[in-house]
Amino acid sequence: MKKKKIKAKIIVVSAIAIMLILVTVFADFFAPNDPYTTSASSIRLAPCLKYPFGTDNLGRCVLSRVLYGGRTTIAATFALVFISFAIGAIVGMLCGYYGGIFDKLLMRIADILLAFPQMVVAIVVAGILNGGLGGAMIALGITMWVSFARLSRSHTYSLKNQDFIKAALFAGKSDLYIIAVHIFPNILPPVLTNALTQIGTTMIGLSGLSFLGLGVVPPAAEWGSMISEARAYIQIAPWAVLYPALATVFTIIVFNYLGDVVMDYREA
Amino acid sequence: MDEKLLEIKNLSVAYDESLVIKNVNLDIYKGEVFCLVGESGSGKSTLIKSICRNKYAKITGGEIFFREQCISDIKDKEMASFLGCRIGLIQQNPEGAFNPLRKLSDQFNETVKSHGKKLDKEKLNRIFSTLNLKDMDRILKSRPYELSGGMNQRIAIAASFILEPELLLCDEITSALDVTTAIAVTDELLRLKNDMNVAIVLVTHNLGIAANIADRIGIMYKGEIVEIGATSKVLENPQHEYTKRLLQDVPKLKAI
Repeated sequence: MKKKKIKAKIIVVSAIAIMLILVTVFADFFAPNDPYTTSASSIRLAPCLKYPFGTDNLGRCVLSRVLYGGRTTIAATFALVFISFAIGAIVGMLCGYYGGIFDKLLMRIADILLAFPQMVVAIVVAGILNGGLGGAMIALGITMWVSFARLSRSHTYSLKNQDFIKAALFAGKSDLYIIAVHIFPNILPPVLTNALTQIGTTMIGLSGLSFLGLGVVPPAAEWGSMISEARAYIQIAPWAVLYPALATVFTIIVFNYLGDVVMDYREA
Repeated sequence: MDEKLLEIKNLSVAYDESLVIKNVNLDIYKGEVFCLVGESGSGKSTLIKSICRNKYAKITGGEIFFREQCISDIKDKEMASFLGCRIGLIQQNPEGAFNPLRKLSDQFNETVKSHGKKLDKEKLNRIFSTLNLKDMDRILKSRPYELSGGMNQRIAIAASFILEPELLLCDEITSALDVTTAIAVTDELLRLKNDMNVAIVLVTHNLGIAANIADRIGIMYKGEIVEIGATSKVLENPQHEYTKRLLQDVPKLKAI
């Protein structure tokens, strides 16, 4: 009964999440104006029919920029989570499966990376890499794979001692076959749940770096950089900050909540 | 009953430094049911593990023969041709026997294929029906995590019988099951054994089950087999102190 309730929640939340993704993917279709066209005659216009979210300091449509910015934020987030997930899962499975020096070495590196707050490492690395979206992604990715690696390592470790793996080994199956067929599908559910919960944090991280000027550089639209740009005139045109901020908060809440309900579903 | 299948001679087994099995001698004959009874830590499971090559259970002395061929010092690769095909093993934890997320049909196929055989659906159907597993096709389409513990244990038994081993080692196969399921499973095991003439070594701490199905019983205590003999003889006329104590400790229902 409880599970059914959670399942309904998952369907609703994932429907909202999919809608969010679709709206940003088809931003060309939904955006009322060009997000990059500046216009001297419509600087800092309050929300009106033509510009539903108002315009910014250069007269660009905030709604269009929020939609296009969502594309950058969401696509970069998904790409980063997926890459960290892939690297982390592979490293974790190899460490858990083979153990030994390789495992000890990588896990100590992971410990070191975990010892620093993620954002601090990201700021330093993004600074060294001179910003840019790619730089920001690398900066966040450096610490992100660790949680995936730890999780998949511990699950692999307990799986490795199960009888069916021992039997497969004894029957002469190759390590690669065992990892691909027996281990990977079994560690997938917990690691995937972790990936879902990481989406929100990654989004904050990426927008945060852009806000600090270490991520996406203007004029490209990105929520963090939009807020950063517009905060200078927040008292004159609060909408230019408000809407990208609302979009960020809403998207993060949706994806975090999705991660939470999926986790609840697994535990129920 | 007189054809010797398994012969264990002066076997000693150790985990790291500590000796767990000391100088055990044991013969298993074709088609018999032999129960190994003892408390936790007495070395019963270790004995089974050492026959099946557990990397932690190191054989420090003695030999194991299967049909007069020494199997305790052959290479792992050679041993693989014995395990499954000629010596079957069913473990305590039914969940561990299968990959929980893989379709059972795939797992059965893989098991049979890795021994160079083809899955004989008719034979499997016979085994399934003896084990009271109804609707084989539906079960084969499902994944182990969708099934109950009792069902998984029955399927694990079916998986070991499909390879037609001559000797089946059962390590506490009923201890994860409730009492009624445990009795049903051992009854079904016995029926299958009679159909296919397999020798069974059943490790258990449940004297009731041992008394029910065993031809012979061995009592294990602190790494040694302290008493061995026909079931009725051991249970009715125990010689060793420990056996007597064990028999006294069997919980009995008080008369109402």
